[in-house]
Amino acid sequence: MSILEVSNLKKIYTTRFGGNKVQALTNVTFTVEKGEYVAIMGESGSGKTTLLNILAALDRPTAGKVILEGKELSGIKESEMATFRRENLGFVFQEFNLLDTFSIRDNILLPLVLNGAKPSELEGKLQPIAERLGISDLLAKFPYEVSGGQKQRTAVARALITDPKLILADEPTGALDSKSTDDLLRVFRDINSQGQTILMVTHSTKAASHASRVLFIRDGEVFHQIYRGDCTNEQLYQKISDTLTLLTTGGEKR
Amino acid sequence: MKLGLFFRLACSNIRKNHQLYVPHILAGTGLTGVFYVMLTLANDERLENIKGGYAIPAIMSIGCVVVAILSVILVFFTNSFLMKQRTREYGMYNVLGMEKRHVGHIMFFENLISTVISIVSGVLFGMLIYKLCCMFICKMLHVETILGFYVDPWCVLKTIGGFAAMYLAAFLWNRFRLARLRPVELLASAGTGEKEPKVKWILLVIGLATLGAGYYIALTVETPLRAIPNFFKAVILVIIGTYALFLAGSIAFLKLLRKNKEFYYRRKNMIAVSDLLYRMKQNAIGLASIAILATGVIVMMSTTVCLYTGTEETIKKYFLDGDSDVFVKTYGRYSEEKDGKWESYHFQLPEETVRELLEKTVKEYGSEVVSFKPMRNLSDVFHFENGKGTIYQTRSSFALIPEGTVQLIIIPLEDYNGISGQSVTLENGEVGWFALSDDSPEITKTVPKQFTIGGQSMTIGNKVKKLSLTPGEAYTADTYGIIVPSLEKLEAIVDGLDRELDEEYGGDSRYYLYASVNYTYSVQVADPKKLAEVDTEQQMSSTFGTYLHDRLVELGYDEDHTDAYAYWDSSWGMRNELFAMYGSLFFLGILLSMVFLFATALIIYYKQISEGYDDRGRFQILQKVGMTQKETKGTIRRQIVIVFFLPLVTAVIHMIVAYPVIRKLLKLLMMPNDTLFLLCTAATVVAFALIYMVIYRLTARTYYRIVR
Repeated sequence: MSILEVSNLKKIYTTRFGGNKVQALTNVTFTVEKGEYVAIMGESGSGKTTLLNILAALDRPTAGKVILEGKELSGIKESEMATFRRENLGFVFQEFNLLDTFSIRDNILLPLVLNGAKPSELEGKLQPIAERLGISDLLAKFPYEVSGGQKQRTAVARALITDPKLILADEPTGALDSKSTDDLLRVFRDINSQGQTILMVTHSTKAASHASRVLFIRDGEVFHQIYRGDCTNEQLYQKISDTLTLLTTGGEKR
Repeated sequence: MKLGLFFRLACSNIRKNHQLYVPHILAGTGLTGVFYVMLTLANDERLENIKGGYAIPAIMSIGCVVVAILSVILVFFTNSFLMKQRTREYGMYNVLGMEKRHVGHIMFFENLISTVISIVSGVLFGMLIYKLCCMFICKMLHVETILGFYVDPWCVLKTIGGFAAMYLAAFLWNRFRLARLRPVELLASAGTGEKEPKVKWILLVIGLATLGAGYYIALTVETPLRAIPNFFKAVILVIIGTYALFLAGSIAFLKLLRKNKEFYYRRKNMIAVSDLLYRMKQNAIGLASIAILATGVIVMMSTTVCLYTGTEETIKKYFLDGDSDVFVKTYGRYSEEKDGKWESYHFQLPEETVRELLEKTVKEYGSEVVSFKPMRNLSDVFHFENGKGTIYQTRSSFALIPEGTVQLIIIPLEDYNGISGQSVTLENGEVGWFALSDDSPEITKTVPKQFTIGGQSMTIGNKVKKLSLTPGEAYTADTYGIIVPSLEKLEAIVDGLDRELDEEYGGDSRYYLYASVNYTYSVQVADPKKLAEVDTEQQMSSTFGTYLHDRLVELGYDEDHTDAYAYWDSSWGMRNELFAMYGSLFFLGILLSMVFLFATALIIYYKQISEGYDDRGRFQILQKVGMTQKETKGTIRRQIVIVFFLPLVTAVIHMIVAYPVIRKLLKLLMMPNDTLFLLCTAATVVAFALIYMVIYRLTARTYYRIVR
């Protein structure tokens, strides 16, 4: 059963005074099945971020549809959008986006509090997630006191705490060193193996090689996709690199 | 050529940073202008020559000092804020290859330009509004308007010199900061998060202690005279307490809220509480300053408005509820040489003589005496011990006045009946009494029922109708009138007291220490308005004094060794004096309040800008995490409102606590009307809150523009 359906998505940006038009997305169509771990790859300017913003309901498409669990995003009223996003989507960003006025604990709990959860329920939800992500000891600390990897794990915990249908990750390893990257990718695989659907936009071949499917975007279209099948991470890594080479060199003639 | 380049760069920098420079230059202009006006008012001889206007220069000089102090603080505040915001830019110039020296040149030109604009426009602004201020003062003093453009070159020079020196000091400070600037550190330090604010326990304790002590002093002041030194002690303690509590108390309180999970983990509270923690850390000093300035405005305005509007009533109360126009007190003094030492004797002039000469004087000035009533009295502070009352001599305002000390006005029965129109009779050995203030307790609280003064024993008898008069100075909380059976009894008391003083002190100090009957007469005239026009206080009383002296000579006194004294208090003279004094105080109150308000607005404006840039990032994260724009705006607005109105609430609380002390201080200034003061205070608080709200609205707009 597909959890996310994207069909014929098109996005045209118009500059402020109406002069130039920039086509960010030409025609994007794909679906994500429940429990899948999808990576979307593409060069800078290929339209990845635009796509992610539309999926996150932060931006609206010029044409086309996004359906999340049978509900069309464009049909949701502006006033209900924030609630919808809070209840159905979890976000992980490249620059973490933690509030430096909050402790790690409060950063994780924020979406729950915004959803109106009872104060007594909070701790019960927090503990298992913090333990799973290995940040139980850091809860009382503040963002400026912990490492980048720990910050990103906090952000993942914050995304998970509302049990979202879909986690959207935007270059989650972009600001991390290699060890923290490995850690985070292991975390993603763990939560995916427990049934969490993940959609990750990334530059990094290594990050993408952990996914179950990789989509390639170029010039605003889905250009190619690779399924993991029975490949190991290393084999998938090789396939992705080959595709990327093709994309930048031979692919132009297609 | 190179300097030209720096100059052009400086110009464009100021234009680019107009959001920061406009308020800085406006502040400079306003302060220079107000200082110039104050200085000129203090030196304008035309004002000094207004009837009763001798106090104006002194009052305006006080204003000058206050404005000067505030100017220094504000100029350095806006300057340091400007520097903080622009340090990055200066660092950038440095990184891009400009030498510190060159950046220094640019900075010099920037400072020069803003200084010249501030001072020149400030002095012009001052000259322009000077005439307006003069007109306003004359209106308030009820005198004819002084016309004509007036410029005192000396004041212009002093103003320019003073402010130029101040700005030069600010520039040198900036230059020093620039020299120590390390651009690399600057660029690296951009991304680190701010540390969580810690509760400063020592500061919290200091704050609680000083504020508590200040409030305690303010609330327990008993006598008006004690109110003066205590008031200043309390003011200083409360200022320290306010700063300390804004710094430490607010953070302790918010942390306490954060500890309460049921309260904290709520949608409305969570973000507000933790953001406020950081806001308070950054803004505590600014907010405390606003609270102090606001309290200052409220105190100044409520008291000066009250004094000014209550002037007529004060005069009426002073002059027996308007039944009297002039109080005249006379005596003669004769000096003679005895064994190579000069000794002087006081003697009294007969009532008929005084009356006759007074009528002559009044007639000469174009009016007539309607009534002439003696109100002879002895007025002094007495200390009672074991039923015996002695004159209390230590009148230092810092000395603790002991229990059983009270101010008495002793009046003979015949004079009391004559003035009050009553026909009181006294039982044998008894005296009548009344309290000057309606809220004073029974006299027996301080004076024993059976008592002696000057060897005369008396018993407290019935309470009689009070005479509405105000003793010039109020040393003790309560003042009582005592009615003794006759003038002879009063004279006997005075003689007795004089003997006691002789025994106790003797010698030279006796020149200052003596008890004497005040031979005071209450005079009513037919047309006091006419006299007010032709007389300045001194003229009529000196005419009267001359007549007295001439009469003494006629009576055979030695002209060289005899003086005649006449103390003269006329309602019109007092009116001129009070209007001049209270009017110029009122004017000063208005002008200083405006300056204070301006300072408040400036602090708030800069605070909004600096917070706006900080909040922008937070605002964006909250939206990414899933808050609607509306919710985000709502939480931010709530925080701003709390931060904004905290100083106002603090000011109102300070005012409520200060209220009783200020009321007592006003009693010292002969302002007896409590209702009027309450009204003035309430009106000032409401007016201030409204203006404050307007400032909030205007500055909040800038803030939202930045955040969005």
